[in-house]
Amino acid sequence: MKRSDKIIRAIKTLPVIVATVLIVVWLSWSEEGNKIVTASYQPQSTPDLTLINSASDHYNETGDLQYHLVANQIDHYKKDDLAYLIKPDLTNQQPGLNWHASSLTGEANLKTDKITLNDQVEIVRTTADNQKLTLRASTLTIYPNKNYAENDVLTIIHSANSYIETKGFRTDFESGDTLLKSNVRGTHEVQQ
Amino acid sequence: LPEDKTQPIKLEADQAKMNNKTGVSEYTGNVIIIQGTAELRADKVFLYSENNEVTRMEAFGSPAKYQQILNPGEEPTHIEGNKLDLKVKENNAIVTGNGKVFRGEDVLESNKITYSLDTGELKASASDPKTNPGDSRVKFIINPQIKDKSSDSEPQK
Repeated sequence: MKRSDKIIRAIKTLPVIVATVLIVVWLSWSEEGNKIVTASYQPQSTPDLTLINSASDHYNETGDLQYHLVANQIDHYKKDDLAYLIKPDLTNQQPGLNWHASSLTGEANLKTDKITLNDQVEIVRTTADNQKLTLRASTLTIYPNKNYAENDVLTIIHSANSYIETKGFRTDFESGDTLLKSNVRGTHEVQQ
Repeated sequence: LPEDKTQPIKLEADQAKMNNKTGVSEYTGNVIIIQGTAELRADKVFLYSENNEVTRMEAFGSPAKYQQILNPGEEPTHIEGNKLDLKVKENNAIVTGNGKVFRGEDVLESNKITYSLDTGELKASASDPKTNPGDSRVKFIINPQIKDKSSDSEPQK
């Protein structure tokens, strides 16, 4: 094939190549802020921030301490503004009431002001005269700004001499009032 | 039975609210509370406790029902009324509104009955006609014990 033929063929195929590149670039144009999403962008699999053995205090808008959070590890994912917690341990102090919640894992969604604790969740409420109420469940969602926590799963509640099972509960951190949502079964031991 | 009071209290309900400050728990929906042979069934029960001890059960129903066996071998005593106020410390139950007490075949009806949980003693009072213009008198239906005829006839000497 003569040299001139090759040049002509190359000129003919150039627009096709340019068009293909443009299409790929157009397809990869992301709606999110018109940011170019290149093939190398993967769904966020690595945190943008990791805290090891961290302790943090969280305040509400009026400057009151909402809760103190200790965790073995916190992985924060910028894209979803989510923090995954390993062995979280939350303490919430109210007048006359101390709340202490812990679990194996958790997830803090900073956008929706929600902390979900999972796997061997335990929440202990201690009154001023040291009366303890312990609630155990597989999951629990805490709403720090609204000062309450709830779930819809089997929850077991222990106090000094009573044992109660319920399907779902909701507890208010400030008043200490607890609603047992359904299927309430309990035993109260009489002190001899 | 006398030992009922030492038995654990078993509770069942559709829902419950535990008020931390007052120590009162409100159980609602098919409420069943059992302690030994004593059994309470109601639509709603307020459980009062002090130092983790149940001191009072205020039951509401249509009617609320309570039964217990006073002594071994006896038939249970059934109590019912719109409201049953069981005071654990004072060991009595106050029935108000369509109160009835059934013991075997005998029935006592009154708008207000005070029943002793450990002796079974009953006090029924007619309610105030002004507040309760309806039938407010006490009614007591005692079924005579019908003796077995054969035991009457003496053997001919």
